[in-house]
Amino acid sequence: MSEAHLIARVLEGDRLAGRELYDAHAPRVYRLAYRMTCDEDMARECTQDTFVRAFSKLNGFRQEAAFGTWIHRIAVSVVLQALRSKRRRSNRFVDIEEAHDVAAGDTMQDTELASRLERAVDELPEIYRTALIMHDLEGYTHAAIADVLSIAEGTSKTRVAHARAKLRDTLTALRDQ
Amino acid sequence: MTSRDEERTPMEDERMDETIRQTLAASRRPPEPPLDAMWAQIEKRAFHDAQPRLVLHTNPSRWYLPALAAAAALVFGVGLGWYAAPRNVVTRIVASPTATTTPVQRTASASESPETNTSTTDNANYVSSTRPSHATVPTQNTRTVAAPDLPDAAAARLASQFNDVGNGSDMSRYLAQTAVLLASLPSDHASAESDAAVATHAGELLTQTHLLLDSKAGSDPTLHRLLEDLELVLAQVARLRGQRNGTDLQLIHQTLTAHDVLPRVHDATIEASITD
Repeated sequence: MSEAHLIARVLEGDRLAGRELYDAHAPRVYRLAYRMTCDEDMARECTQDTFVRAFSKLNGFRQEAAFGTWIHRIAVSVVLQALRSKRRRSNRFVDIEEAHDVAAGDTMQDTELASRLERAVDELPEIYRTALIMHDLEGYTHAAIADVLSIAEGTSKTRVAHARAKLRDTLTALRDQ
Repeated sequence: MTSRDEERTPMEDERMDETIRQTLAASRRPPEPPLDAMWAQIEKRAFHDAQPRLVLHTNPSRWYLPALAAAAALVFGVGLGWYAAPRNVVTRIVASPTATTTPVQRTASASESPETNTSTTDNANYVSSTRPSHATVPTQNTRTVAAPDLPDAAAARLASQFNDVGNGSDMSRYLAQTAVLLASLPSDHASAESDAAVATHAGELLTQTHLLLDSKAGSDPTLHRLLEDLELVLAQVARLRGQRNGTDLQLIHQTLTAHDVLPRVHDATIEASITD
């Protein structure tokens, strides 16, 4: 069944159709939310908020863009709002210690490197960080990022390049020590 | 680009980018998404509005459904009553400008009024002494009833609107209007204008009460008793116009309370609306 049919059925209150749409997009939304927040609870909350908001605004979705693009647009908005809210509460983006815990025992051997890079990522301006995570960690194309963030494709490339340059400086500084 | 970038070759940049990417990918590796748990929350929040509809369709035996239907019928009836209030008078009204009797005085004798030339066999007059002119209404089983305060032309026009006194629709409308009137009786300190408006409306409803008493609907014992009680109360209300002392309203309220009039009106309204 096409997404247009699923959307029509969701608008009629069909939960099963809602679940189908959710199954198709939730894993990727959750992954993006986790990559951006580095927090399991936040990622779960953001994913839930994304779909609740999407279903509540579904009658306003004109299907000019793909549903996937639309819901990722919502997801990015929800995640950024959550991060801003968290920053207001704790005056920092992510808990670096939690990031260490996640990295421990995996492919990351140099926890100092990971810590510094995480900190550098967190210190990136929001627009650069979002583009970098979407492109370099989640594999979105620049065209897709442009659609989701409602920016030009060239702008997406510029943001990713700028973010990479900042992180390279961090890595260089760490190696120079 | 920074000065450090100028010192590195593009190949070095690529290697560094890859290192950064792998490091971040590892440190931010997402766990398996708890899809079912998240969906449970989403379903609860996003589809909660649909739950009552599903319950209504799938479980019609819920206790509140009859009450909901009754409440809806009552609201509809009251609304209809408000809407139809100024137009409601019943059949075959004949002008009788000279008749004078007292309210709620029912006699079993035939009407002696020469203006009330009816073919009925058992007529009774109900005329308000406070009304200088009125119309008398011969009903289907012999009673002649006054229709107070209606100009002849208006009486004739309104009379033509109703040909079947006592059907469920008429009864619903009448009961709803009566309930509204009794629920909005003027206070002790109401103005004379307020009293007059209420009394006029009560007079119209009193006329309908008489007609309904003689109709098929009035043959139901329960409804007949209610109509008789309403006849008494409405007659008391109809006398509110002009001068009144503090006990008038008290008497009305005593009658309403003693006979449980309003709850019975509500019950009858629901019953009549169901049988419409």
